[in-house]
Formats: sequence, C-alpha cells, structure tokens
Amino acid sequence: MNNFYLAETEFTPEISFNIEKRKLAFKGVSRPEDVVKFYQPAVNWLREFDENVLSHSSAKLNIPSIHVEFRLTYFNSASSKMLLQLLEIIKKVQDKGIDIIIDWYYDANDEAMYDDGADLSEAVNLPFNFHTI
Amino acid sequence: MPKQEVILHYQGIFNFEIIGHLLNNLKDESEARNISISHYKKILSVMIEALENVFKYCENFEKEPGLFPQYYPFFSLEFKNGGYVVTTANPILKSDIEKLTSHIDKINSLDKEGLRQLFRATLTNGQFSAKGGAGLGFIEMAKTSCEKIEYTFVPINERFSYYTCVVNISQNALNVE
Repeated sequence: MNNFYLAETEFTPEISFNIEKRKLAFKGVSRPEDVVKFYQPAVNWLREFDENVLSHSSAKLNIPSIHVEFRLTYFNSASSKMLLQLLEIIKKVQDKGIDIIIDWYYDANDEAMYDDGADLSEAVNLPFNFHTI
Repeated sequence: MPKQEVILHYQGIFNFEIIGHLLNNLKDESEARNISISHYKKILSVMIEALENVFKYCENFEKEPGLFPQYYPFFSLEFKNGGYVVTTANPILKSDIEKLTSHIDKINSLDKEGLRQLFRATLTNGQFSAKGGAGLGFIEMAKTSCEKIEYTFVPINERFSYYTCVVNISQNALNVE
C-alpha cells in the first residue's frame, strides 16, 4: 500500500499518511470548496489501511503504534465533521490493539482551536495531547 | 480606531474565489489596524462561516433573471461599540425561509452550554446537506459571537426574498478566553 500525500494550498491542509514512519499528519488551513469531495480520498486511504494492512495478524508487531499530528491553524465547521470521520476510523485502528498517540498543536492566542480539539477528542472518545506553539 | 467604522465592504458577483479575496483583505486590514491575533481569529471564524453560507445559496439565485444588480449578495465588516459586526445578505428561495428561521431561532434560544451540546450533537450526526453544509456554521457563529443572530427577509418577487444576517461579535465576546 502506498503512502498518502496532499500538498497544502491556501484553503486546504497538507495531509500526509506515512506507513513507514507510522505517522498521520494534518497541517494548515481547512476550508475546501467541497469539504466531502476534498476529504474523501483521505477517508478511503485510511479505510483501506484499517481493513487491509492492519487486519493481518502480524500488524501489531509491525506497527505497534501510530502517531497522529494535527497542526491546523484554522478549519471551518464543515471540515470538523470530516476530521471526526477520519478520527473514527483511527479509533477502529486502536480497537485492533494498536496504540494511538494524538498530538494537537494550537496557537496560544487561539483558545477556540483548543476547544475544537477538545470537542473532537470527546466526540471520538480518544485522548488528545494538547500543545501550544 | 473610531467608534464606528466600516472595515470591509463588498457587493457583487459571489463565488469561492471572492471568499478568498475577502479573507486576504481581512488579514491585511487586521495587520494595518493592529488587531490582535485572538480578535482576528474570532472575526475570521465568523466571517468564513457567514460567507460560506452565502456561497451555499448562490446556485439557487445566480441564474434567476431580474435579481441583479440591486439584489447582489452583500458583505460588510464593521467596527462598532468596541466589537465587530459581520453582515451578509443574499437572495434566498422563499421555500427555504421556514427551515432557516427555525434553525436560527433554535440556536438563539440556547445559552452557552446549550450551544456546546448542540454543536457536539450535530458534529457527531455525520450528515451533510446536498450543498455540503454540515449544519454547524450558525452554531459556530453563535458560539464565537456570544450574541443572538439577527436576520430579516424582504420579499423580492414571487420566488425570492432578500435575506440579511447580522452577527455581532461583542466586546465581551472578544475578551472571552
């Protein structure tokens, strides 16, 4: 399975899913013109990763943990629904016994970004580590 | 800054690129006026949700004859009484008014905790409208502004009304951590 990468634009985030590094990363701004269309390839990739790669019995040995990193500076409300959808797939990965570490970075002057992370963490029922930048 | 001042103003053809231009203008104006990052982020959040709402209605009205130029979509950002006022206006199908007013009235009836609960419930319902709306935009604006959302509808013709939406980001809201 190939890694997944989307470059950052003025209104969409960089999305990088790297199997070798065991890292899923989001960075930048998210206010796509069509939020569902934009995030669907990432949703599809994660589903395939969950269903095909991690379903092998050796997965836990090969991929003991996955690091998820959010470095978003802004995302619109519609994007939050898609981020939750991605996190729900990540939650399924955790249910397979793979440790999930989620780091949420936010500007110290942007308390709303902290709240957004707290909302997503509670909604998906996964703990986030919060860091100011 | 004076007690009341129009910071940004636009009326005309509306599309996704126009949203980007207006957001770039906000960034430039915020830097020129030394608006703090914290205040800028709150204005930005309300402005994007408000502009995206206008954008969602565009395809309903952009080909309707007789609406323009007098009923072109409108946007303004004002500094007023120590806070900021985001106003948008656009033609709306009369058949959409009841659903919209019921949604805004419900949001306006809620306190801070009620808004938080509605936001989380809507976030987890997984639904998107045909236009890609997640049903979170007005809740987000109400959460950020800490004020009731104001709206009016002025009839244009048999099918359309001109819908104006005003979000006041009060001085108190700006100072909430």
